[in-house]
Amino acid sequence: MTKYVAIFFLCIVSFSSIAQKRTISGSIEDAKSGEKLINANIYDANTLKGSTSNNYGFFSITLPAGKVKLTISYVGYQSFQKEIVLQNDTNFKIKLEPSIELKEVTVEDTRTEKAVESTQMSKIDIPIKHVKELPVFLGEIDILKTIQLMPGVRSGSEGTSGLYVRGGGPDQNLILLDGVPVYNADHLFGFFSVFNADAIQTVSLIKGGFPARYGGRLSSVLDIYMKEGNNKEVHGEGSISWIASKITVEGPIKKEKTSFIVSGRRTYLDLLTIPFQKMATGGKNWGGYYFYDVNAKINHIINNKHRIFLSTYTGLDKAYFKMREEYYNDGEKVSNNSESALQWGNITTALRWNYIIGSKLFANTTVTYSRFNFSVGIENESDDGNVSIKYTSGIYDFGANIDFDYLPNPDHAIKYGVSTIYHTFNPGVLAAKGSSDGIKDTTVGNSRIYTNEFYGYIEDDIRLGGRWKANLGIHYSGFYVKNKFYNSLQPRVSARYLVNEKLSLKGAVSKMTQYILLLTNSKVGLPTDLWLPVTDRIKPMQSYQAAVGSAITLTSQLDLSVEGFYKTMDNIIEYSEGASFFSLSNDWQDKVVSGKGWSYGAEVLLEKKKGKLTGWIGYTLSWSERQFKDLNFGNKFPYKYDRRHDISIAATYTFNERIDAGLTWVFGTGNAVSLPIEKYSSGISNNNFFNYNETIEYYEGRNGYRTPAYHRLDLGVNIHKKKKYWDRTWSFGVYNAYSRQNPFYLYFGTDSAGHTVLKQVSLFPIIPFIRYSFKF
Amino acid sequence: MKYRVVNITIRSCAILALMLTIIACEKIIELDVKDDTRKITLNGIVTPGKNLTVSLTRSLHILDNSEFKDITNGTVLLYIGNTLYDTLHHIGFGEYSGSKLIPVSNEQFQIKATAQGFKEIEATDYLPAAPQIMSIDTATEMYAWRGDGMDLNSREPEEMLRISIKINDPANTGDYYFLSINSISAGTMFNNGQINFFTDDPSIDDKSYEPGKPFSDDLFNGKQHELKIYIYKPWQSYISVNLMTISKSYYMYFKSFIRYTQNHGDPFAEPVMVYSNINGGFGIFAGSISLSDTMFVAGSYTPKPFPNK
Repeated sequence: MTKYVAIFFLCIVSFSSIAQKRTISGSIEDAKSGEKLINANIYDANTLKGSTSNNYGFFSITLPAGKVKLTISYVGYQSFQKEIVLQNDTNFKIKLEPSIELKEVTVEDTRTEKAVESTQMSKIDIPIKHVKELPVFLGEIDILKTIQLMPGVRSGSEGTSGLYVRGGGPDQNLILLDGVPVYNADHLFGFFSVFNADAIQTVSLIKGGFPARYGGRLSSVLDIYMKEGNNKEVHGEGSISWIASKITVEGPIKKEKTSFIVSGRRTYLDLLTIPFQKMATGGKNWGGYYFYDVNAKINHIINNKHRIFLSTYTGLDKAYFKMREEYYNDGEKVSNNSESALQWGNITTALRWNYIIGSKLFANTTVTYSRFNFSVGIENESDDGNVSIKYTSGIYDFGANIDFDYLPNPDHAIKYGVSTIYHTFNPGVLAAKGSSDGIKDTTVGNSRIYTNEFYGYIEDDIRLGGRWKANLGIHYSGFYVKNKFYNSLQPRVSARYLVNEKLSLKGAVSKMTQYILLLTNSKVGLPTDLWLPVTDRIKPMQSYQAAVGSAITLTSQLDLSVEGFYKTMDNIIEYSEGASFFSLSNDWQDKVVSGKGWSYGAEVLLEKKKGKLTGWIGYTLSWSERQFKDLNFGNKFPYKYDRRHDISIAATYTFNERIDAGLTWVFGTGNAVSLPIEKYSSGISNNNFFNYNETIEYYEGRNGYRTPAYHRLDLGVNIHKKKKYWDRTWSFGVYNAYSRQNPFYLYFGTDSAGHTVLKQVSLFPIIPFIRYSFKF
Repeated sequence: MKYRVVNITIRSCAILALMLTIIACEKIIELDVKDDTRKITLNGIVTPGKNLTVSLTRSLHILDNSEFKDITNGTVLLYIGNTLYDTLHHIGFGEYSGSKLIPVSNEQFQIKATAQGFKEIEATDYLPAAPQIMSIDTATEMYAWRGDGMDLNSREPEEMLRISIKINDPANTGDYYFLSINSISAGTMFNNGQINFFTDDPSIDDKSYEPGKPFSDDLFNGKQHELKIYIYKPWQSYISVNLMTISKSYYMYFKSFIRYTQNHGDPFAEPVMVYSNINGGFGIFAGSISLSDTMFVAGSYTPKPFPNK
């Protein structure tokens, strides 16, 4: 392997040392807001060479000295064209004007770089505009739910925002917000995600063909970047819906130098219902639930070469119940107040420094902090004494990374860097304080686990002649946990062959390694799920994924992509049979088993990106299986989210400047669940132990039963109006328009005659929504 | 304490459940499975020196609320090697008994059963070698159970009776055991019931406070192994230490059946599939050999051996 790495570097050096070249570099930004434009295209019509801007708007293109006919384009913006005579290295700050014509007919591209031309496969860029136009659940715009409409991605239970990508579990997704890992992306037990669309600039999901710069999870990378804040003038937007309101304000602190953005959201179901609860109980009992989140970012341009950002996210979910009671004990009046609460939340913070070292070299240094904390507890104040009991668990990360973009010439785009994360895991601590009930101040539970994860990578996006392009990379990672060291060398290869300008063939192979895992119960999606590190007994998870596909431009408005994938997963974990979150006995390692997984399938995505009607149709045919020595008697079984067929249709239609409408329809094969189909008597006696006559329920294999198919239609309409000081939008719609009773879970109950029957619980029938949003 | 935290969690989750219940709805749906005719359930354990008795019952569809029915018109044949050894006869209540069995260790035996209206079932197993107990010692010790990280009270050391059972495990074979402790009534010497015990022994997966544990020799194959278990001292009582060697099928059945009974009905627990080695039907047909030793535990907390120690 060392030999190949050396050859790789030699190639890079040799390609880089070409004489008589000059470099044009700089940044590309929105002329009105100053927001940097990511993945904008830079193209020289004379040499037919091109490049793209990176995640911070930086670009560099090295061309032969002489005449250059430069075109800079970005979807939704007017192209910038300039002819220059290139004699020296040149630096530009290019400001693109939003395209008004395009806005009127709602032209929006889901990809900034044409899929046909890109080496990267299995990647989806979600325009925030699409996210906002589609109908939404309870009026709350949710990025993750839009991603669930893409092929290869599916949700877990009804209404939840969990992502199951190409047969992987929810812990196998690396979710990055401004480069910081987010460990729990759920609000309201998964019915909403933590990402506030108003504060988000770009969202991209990679399902396979992972570039070497990413690592640490097996199945996907969800890379989300917050807006930087308008550095020209103050703007804001907000919305009010049934359950939540939010507001975002952005603007310059110092014009064209320093900008900020602050965005906040809170639900208010608790505030609305508490007065009624108090009335009903005479002020004795009340409870509620709320969540909030806040995104904030400051962006400061020091000079042409240096720029710093400070971004943070904090969010909290809390379900609580309060009780006030008075009673008499031996003739004495005793008052007792108690509050029990279940709460969880994330904090992420990133301090970032962009440094343009030279016209071809860009550095990004980031220091990060991420925390996910869960707690459940009760505080009891009584005349008899006070008692407080609290159970907490969580994960805390401090990280640092430095990444370089080196663009020696248009045929190479090299990225390399290193990263380290210091994890602190708190697998669960119970603390009790007080004197009542005989409780002394006590703290028990699993001790904290401190680990160190690091990686280094190098990748090169290489153009090999006119038709071939490849992304070659290597990712090396290591993990220290309790004197145990694991490491992994992960090759990443993607290639593209351009058959003609409308058709390309692609292939990718990647290995991924994951050192942290989520201990989750298959029946409930609670925040009680625990993040834990690998141990000497629980080995790192590994996956190999191969994907092949084709990107086809059918017409100027229609793109088609077809992909097939095969993925293997090793050392994945599941709860052992009979294990329960509430059976708290035993070390967690005793409650899990390690095994293997496979998933394979095909995905088709047909996109219409221009015109009044835009949207996509996605279809996935897939299989996802698991095999554990200690589950299902060692036999293979379907993964619970194995879904043979998955269809999604998302469409928006712009009638005119004032009205647009959206539609989504999804269909999926039912989930695989374990359901008994027969029962028999244990009827066995043993002189020393057994004398049971239990009823044993017979399962035809783990996850051997399919729930009914899932399908749902959502409809929405947006009515826009320009007011004197702001633009406003009324959004109306319905979730589950034909009120399909989709299965949430199944159980055996009894009917009115007392017969045992199979019952299906469905969560959401037809639910209308209304939202008022404004922008100024 | 553990249950208090669990209750808080459940109560908090109930708030969500309440919110969901407002809009959730349920309906009866059809169980979409091929409904074959019912199957024979056969349960029987081969124990040397005893008449083999097996029971035959009829399985039920999962939605069937009726009682299990005994199969009284069955034909049950026992083969040792490939030779028909015995035809078991019905002795009432769906039980079939044969002549006294003197099987040889590790010899294969097979049972076949048919009845009108049912498909034939068949199972094959073997009788393991007898357990080799080298010694059983007891002592009074302070013991703190480490199994439950959430129970504050469980961390306090308590005075308990430690029972050490030293066994000699045969080499080159995978051996399976089942250990249980019983209380013996001093007056009648009848088995008075099972005694729960604690253990930290690594070969025993299930650390719960339960009365019987299956385990394998994976960690001590071919070696001597000392099992340490802890019980709350019964007052002035005899206890019986029972160690069985069991076939692999019986071990898998035991493990899964105990997990099943421990977690059945817990909506948060992963489902447990109980092992069965009956081809075409349900139940277990397996071999085991038991060895017991009874001793007297005095109120003075000084265990006295009885009657042979």
